Amino acid sequence: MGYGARFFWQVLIVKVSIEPNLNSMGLRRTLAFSAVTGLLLVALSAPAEAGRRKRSEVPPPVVIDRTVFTPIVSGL
Amino acid sequence: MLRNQLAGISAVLFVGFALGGATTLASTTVYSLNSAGLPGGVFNGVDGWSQSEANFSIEYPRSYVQPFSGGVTGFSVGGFYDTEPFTGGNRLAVSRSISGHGARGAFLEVAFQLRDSEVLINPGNPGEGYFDTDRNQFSLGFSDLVSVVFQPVSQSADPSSDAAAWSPLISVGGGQEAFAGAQLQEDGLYTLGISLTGFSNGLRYAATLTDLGGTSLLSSGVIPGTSLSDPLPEVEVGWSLSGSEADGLGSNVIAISSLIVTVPEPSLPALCLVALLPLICFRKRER
Repeated sequence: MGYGARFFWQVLIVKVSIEPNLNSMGLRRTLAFSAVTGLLLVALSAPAEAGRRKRSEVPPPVVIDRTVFTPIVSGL
Repeated sequence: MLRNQLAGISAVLFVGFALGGATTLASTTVYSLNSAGLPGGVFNGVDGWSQSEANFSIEYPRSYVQPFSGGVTGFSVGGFYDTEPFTGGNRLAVSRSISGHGARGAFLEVAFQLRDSEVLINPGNPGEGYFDTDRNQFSLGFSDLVSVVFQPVSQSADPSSDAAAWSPLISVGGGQEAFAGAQLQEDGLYTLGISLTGFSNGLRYAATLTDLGGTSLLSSGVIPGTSLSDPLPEVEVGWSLSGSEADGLGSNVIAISSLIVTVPEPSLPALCLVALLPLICFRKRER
């Protein structure tokens, strides 16, 4: 179960247990409130690496040639 | 008769050990890089190496297994993968402990190449550009004792059309000193050697940078605050921020294809003493 879905059920359970005599209107409001809160949480808890290039998206590092000669520039 | 024979054997052994010590380097390899794994695989934890800051996830390794020509496998440190910014300061260190040895007489030799920020956002469409252009700073050496820092000479917004260069500096005693005013170029294979020797009651360093053509530059000096009995510290490869982009990270890397640590052969003086013992005993008895 995702973070948002878990939060949705937690809010719903708390709300129902606090108000045992909920009418249909109140229940609808509670459901709507929980759904919006859950969606917001899902959006805000998106992984920080979203949009970053990862191993499965970048071709693996190529073989590096160990015979490349670039001289040390000295005496600068 | 037997006494003479033993004395002869003792003398031969002593001369043999002494000559053997004089003609060889009298050192023993206590560590040689043995990297293994698939190209791009996580290097943290391989062959006893560890990162100062964990990878954000295995999908974004800050050090990874690197293949080289000739079937050589080593490792790279840097931003080949578009990793998250560091959380523990502006530097990442990848280190390996070489415990149980003294620093005096130790020698580190590393074959390495510096690679510029050239990883494209979309390799299939170069028009989209790079995911990071910053050129970063790298370091190689003995942790907290002496290391050589490679500082980028300049930054570029288009790294693939601009040759990158790094100025080597000696980092010792909390300060940095110029390394003969030298510059290293991108992609070239270089070898860094750092030797530690005893000096009065402290340690000295001698660092050499050699290119594939055999040109070598030397920098040497005293390491402040050291003693002859100091233990051998960790070998460390560092990657630190030096750019101007928001996260300060570049996609450039330092690629290590070979790394060895040697210490003086401890048994040679002992062998000479053991070989001389019978001679000394006989001498005393004769008197």
